[in-house]
Amino acid sequence: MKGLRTHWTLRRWLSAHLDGELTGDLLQRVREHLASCQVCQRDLEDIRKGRSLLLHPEFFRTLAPSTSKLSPLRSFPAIRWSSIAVLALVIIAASVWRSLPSVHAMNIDFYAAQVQMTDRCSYPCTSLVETTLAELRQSSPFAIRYPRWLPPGMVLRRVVRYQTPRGEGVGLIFAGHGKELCIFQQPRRLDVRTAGQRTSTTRICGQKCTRIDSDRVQLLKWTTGDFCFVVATTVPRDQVEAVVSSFGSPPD
Amino acid sequence: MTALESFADCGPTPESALLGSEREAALMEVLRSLPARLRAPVILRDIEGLSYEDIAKSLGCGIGTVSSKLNRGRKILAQKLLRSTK
Repeated sequence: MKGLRTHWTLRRWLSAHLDGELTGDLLQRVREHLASCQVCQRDLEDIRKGRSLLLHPEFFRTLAPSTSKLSPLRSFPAIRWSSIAVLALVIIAASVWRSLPSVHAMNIDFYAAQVQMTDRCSYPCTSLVETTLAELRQSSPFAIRYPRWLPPGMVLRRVVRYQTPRGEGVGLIFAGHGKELCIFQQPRRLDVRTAGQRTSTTRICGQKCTRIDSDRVQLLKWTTGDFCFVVATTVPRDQVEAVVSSFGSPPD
Repeated sequence: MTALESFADCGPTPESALLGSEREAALMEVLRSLPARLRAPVILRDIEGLSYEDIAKSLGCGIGTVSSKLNRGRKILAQKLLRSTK
């Protein structure tokens, strides 16, 4: 009975053991248990395979249906072949690691959707809540910056906060004369990625901005200091640029 | 490279072209197939490379729970890999 309890207590630590996160007494207990428990040994092997799937993206070759298999080079001496394979894996892994988009990046469609007031909260956004400016001033995770200029007739209609595992962002949504102007501010580490749209770089009052092609709304993104700003709007282009320009200096 | 520059360059890169969209689609497909409660720890650990402590803080749970969820998430991934290669 005691052995069974030990089994259930220790098997949860198998991933931590595999990742080298265990130390001291717990590490020793897991090691000892693994040495005598075939169930945990099999579990550990499965966990190792699953981890390899993500840590070594070459495995995805096996998942891609139309990818051809490499033909074995039997004439190569084994030692040379394994060295080349290891080197190739390292190079591929490094390039894959650099080129894979962050799975935590906010999709640009999230910002566009707020213009339509759809309250769409798509991955990696885990929550989207409406709040007030007063509440935001009291409990915002960072100093909110505001535009110093707004198109005539625009008033603040909504304030939203959105949360992801990487951090929290805030959105100020202005409206007037049938137009919408949404301004989002979030930590720079919370990336933004496009969903296949074309992008171009532009300068507005010296501020380097990225313009994202979109049929429905204008989308602009720029980074200042530790923060990233995204504007999604239906107001005319010259007015958007005036709004972005008004962010040029830090708020009072 | 600044975040802005990386954003401006977020179209297909030589590396991603080399990778091919199939593999990226397979990655996303596999990750999407995981239950949400298991997906987050797997992504945070095996893609983002966060420590168990940081994952636990991020998800508001204990380190043992992180390990337990990783166990289940990785085993599901291994089973999917096995099925896809049969």
